[in-house]
Amino acid sequence: MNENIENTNSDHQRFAPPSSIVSSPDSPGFKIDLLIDNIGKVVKGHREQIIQIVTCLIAKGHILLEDNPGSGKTVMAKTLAYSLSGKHGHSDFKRIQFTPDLLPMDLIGTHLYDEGNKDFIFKKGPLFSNILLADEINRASPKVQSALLECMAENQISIGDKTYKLEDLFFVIATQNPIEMEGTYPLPNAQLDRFFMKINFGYVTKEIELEIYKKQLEIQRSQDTVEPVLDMKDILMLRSKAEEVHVDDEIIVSINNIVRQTREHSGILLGASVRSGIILLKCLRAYAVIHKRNYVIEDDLASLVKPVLQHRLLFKNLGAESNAIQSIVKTEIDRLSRLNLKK
Amino acid sequence: MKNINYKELAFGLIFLILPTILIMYPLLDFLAEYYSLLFINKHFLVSVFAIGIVTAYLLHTTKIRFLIIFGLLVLVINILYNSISSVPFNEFDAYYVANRFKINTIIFVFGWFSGFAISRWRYYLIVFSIVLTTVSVFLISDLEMSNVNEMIWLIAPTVLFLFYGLFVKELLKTIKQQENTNYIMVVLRILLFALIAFFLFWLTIQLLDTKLDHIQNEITKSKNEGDEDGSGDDDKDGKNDSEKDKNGSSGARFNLDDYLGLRDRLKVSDELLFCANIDNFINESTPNPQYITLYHLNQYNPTLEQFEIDPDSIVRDLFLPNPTKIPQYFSQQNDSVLVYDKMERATKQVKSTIYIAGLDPEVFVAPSTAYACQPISIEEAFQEEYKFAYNVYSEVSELNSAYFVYNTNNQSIIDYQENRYRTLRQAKNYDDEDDAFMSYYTEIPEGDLYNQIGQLADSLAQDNQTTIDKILSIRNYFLSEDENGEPLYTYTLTPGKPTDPNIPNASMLGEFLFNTHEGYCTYYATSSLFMLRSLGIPSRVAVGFMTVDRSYKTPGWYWFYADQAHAWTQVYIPEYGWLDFDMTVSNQEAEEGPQPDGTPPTPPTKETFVGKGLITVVDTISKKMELRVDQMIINDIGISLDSASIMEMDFDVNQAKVFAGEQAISLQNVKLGDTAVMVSFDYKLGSIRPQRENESIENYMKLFPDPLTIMEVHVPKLEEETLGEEPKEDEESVIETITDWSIYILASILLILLILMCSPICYFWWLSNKAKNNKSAYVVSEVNYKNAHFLLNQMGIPRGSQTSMVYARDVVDPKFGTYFEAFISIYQKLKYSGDKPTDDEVKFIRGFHSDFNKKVLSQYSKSERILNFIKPNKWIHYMLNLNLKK
Repeated sequence: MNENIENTNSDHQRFAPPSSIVSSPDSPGFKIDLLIDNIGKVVKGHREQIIQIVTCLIAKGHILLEDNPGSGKTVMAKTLAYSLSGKHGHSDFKRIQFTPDLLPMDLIGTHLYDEGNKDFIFKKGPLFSNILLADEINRASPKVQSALLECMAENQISIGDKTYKLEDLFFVIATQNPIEMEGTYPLPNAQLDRFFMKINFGYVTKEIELEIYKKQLEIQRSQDTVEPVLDMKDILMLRSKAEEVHVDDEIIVSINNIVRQTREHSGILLGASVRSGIILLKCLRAYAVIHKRNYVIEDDLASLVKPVLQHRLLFKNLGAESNAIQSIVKTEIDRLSRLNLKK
Repeated sequence: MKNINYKELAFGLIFLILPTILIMYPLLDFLAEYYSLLFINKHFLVSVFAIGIVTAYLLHTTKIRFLIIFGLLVLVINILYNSISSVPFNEFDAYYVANRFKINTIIFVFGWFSGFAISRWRYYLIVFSIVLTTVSVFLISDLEMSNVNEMIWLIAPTVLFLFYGLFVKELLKTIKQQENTNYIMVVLRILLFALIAFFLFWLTIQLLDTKLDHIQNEITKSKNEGDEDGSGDDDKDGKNDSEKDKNGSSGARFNLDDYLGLRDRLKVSDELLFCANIDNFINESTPNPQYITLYHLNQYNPTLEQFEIDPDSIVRDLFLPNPTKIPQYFSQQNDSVLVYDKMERATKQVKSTIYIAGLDPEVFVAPSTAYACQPISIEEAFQEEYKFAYNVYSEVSELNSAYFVYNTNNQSIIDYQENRYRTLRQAKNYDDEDDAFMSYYTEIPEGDLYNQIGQLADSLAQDNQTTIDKILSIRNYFLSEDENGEPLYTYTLTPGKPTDPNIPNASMLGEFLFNTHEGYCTYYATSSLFMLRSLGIPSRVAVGFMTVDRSYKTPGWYWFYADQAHAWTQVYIPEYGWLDFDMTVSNQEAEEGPQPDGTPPTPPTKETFVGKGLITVVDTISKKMELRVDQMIINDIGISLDSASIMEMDFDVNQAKVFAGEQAISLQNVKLGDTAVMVSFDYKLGSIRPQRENESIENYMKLFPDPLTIMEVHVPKLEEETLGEEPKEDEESVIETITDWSIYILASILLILLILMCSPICYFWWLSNKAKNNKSAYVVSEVNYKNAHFLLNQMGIPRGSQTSMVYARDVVDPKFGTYFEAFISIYQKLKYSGDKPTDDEVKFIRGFHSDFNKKVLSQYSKSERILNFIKPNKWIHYMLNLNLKK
């Protein structure tokens, strides 16, 4: 295949795509590539998931990773945190292992009596961080879960009469174990809804797994020495950039169609809410920014509908989940791809 | 085996398998007929095929291996076959049972294979249709079907099916890739497609209609050419030439025009035209032959020296039916001729039976004065020799006879002659006759020649007072001898042109009478006519056939060959009507008994039942017919049913022969709505009589068996269509035309296929052209987008369910080294961003088309490109890339 390109080298001089579609290295979109590449150095073979996580980050959302233990969820979250620079060098990264005996205060923090001031002071919990890895979220009691989810939704914590604002950049990466285990409290749908996406890591390909084994030391080292490549300010800037992304009317029509079709589809018991549509729209904007565009295209829709909508729906058959969404998406993509250009 | 989509399965069964079975139906029918598989019911054959195809389709759609099942099938068939052959039948049965089994097995396996291939193989329907069309063309050329429309409607379904099948197959493929299909929409689409396809085909046929007519004419013409033998005679006499052709055309149109006038030579042939049994005798053993009259000549053209038939003749005593138009056994009668013939005395009814051989059966020949004609059947043994037969009833004067000039030794004939002269001498004179009548029949052209003839007649008849004596004197003049004892007048077919050089335009009549004394019958008839007329005797010339009594073994039977065509004078005698007086001297040159006469045809068995009516049902399988009978003849008693009592009757035509006019045809060519005459000779029916007088027809008919067994069916002569029952020498030319025809049909099929195959290329060209010439960057990128998708689809890499971008990035660009992804990004930008393209981008869009096409096409060899482009199902699939979901 490389030969083909070489063969057409002579054409290359005369005919080539315009440079304008390649963005300059200064643009924020280009910096996102640095971030993704940086994570990719450590987390091999999950580029798609990395992009989805970054999309959630820029869309001001939170993400739920669902996979078996040992598939690199924690490494992923850690690397993301370390790749961002903040006040203290790295961004603030916290990790909580959710257990059945975990209490909300373990998350939020507690009022401690300050001997010196003779007053209670608030000892901030792990929630007051930039990136929070909530490991095995379904093992904690519903009380804890809801405390976390409330913070995610409000971006602030109310304790008694006091309200504590969380960090501007507050991003939760929750993980949960798909295997039914004793002592788990599955997240109710209403709470799942608060996660912008639920993604599965899945196993890497044979080649990549082989590479991981071979270069295990190297990866380990780069994991330990992750350099921050992006300032948190950049993320905030990207977030504001995402709000400016142009969404064509036809794309909005498609979002509407998709959301509505999930409600009408015979294989789906519970369809997507209006909020799902809004979240999808937010994700699309973020996704476009990541791809250095200031407009949303049909490809964005094709890649995002499944991770954004899948965990919000209730399916009749467990096996039919992906089929139902795929067929809905395919219809809309077909519709969009056949649309004529507006002159 | 997982996840069988029952809707899809049902869909395939209804819209793919069912039409396939239906399309096989006529073909199997034809095959059964062609191979005379009469012992196999075609319905049975079709159901065998249907079982095969449905089972195979069901099994193979559920992803069962072909080979295993097929192997099992072969094993089972083999075991069955062996067990059948080992069961002790008698020899005859064993042969048929084994054969039947073989045929059914072949059909079944074909069905099985089709079912498998339809479910698995995308291109099978093309192969299937081609096989079907080929078989149809082969059958058509072998069945000698020469009706163009029939051929088209035999082939049309297969061609239609090809398109339909391709369409449905691609639709099924599309359904398979999608989920949640709206089947109602799919069904509507199929119906719409079928409708459009049918309409287009119908339109094509309508447009081709004139062309078809032309072809039909060609076919008919080529058949007729087969009839004509060697017409390349370079005779300068154009008229004679063409007449000779007509005479030569196997007697289909025997022509008597030569007898109308005086020619320098007369050509005759010795073909048997017909034979007749005239039931007219002087006494028990001596037959009294009568001349056979075709028409009368009343008008004379002196310049051409030729007679003409006067259409406004004041005497209409000529009965001119078309025997082929009369239903078998029913008679057509014209009583007015009996008034016009003016016979009052010494008349009798004479029944004659005419068996037509070489003559055109539409020409009615009969002894004068005929007044009724009744077509009858011909006994089977004589059907080859004679093609048509009818009874004729004539009113004949007892004084009329063919004997006039000939010397005979038969005493009873001499006595008869003497007797009739004696009677005629007593006849009245012409004083009481109508003036118009007299002047019409005594008219003579003016001129020296006719005065001379008058003088001659006067000199001959000066001593005679009665009409008959005057006639006899003229006869005697023609029979008289010259000074040397030689006959004064001789008969010759080649009188030659007038020899006197002094008279350039000398009359042939004058030459005959006053110089050469040589001529043929028309010369004698013309001369005597004018002599008689100048004597004031009303007379006319009749043209027909001279009756020669040769067959002494079978008195009353006469054979008529082409050389017996004749012209003679008829004289009107008051009260006795028109009598034949033939003045022609006997032909000395003619050999005695030129042709051995054949055996007279045995009269057919007495018909016991004849029924005429409209055909309402023709069942070619069980050989049954149903008629709405309005007329019947039962044991010679004619029964006419009025509209209220028209009866539906069933007939068993298992043993019946079917005739269209004089042609034997097969039962399949019988058309509904035609009038048919059913004839039965069953003697048992003859004994069924009405039980009471005035018994109602309904009750009477109940005595007859139901269905009535019929021996002969007569339907009207087929007009345009010429049937397979052609003389053998024609077959080659017919097959040739049909081969031409098959080529034409194949060519049109190929043309349609070509159009279908060319349409992708045309679409591609259209897109290219648009891309080059359009100014708007938007239009160009739109076209580029479509062009790229279409081209890649034809090259076998359709986009499928990928998005364009992914498709471009992962599939197209790596394979061809194109900038498709870059193009798609710009395209998407134009589509979704609302921004205007930059100049660079516009430039890129404009250059993209040729670059892309070049790069993609360079990966394929020329033949691959063409092959990819003409595959019709890819094109259909691309165009079908429709949204079929709810």
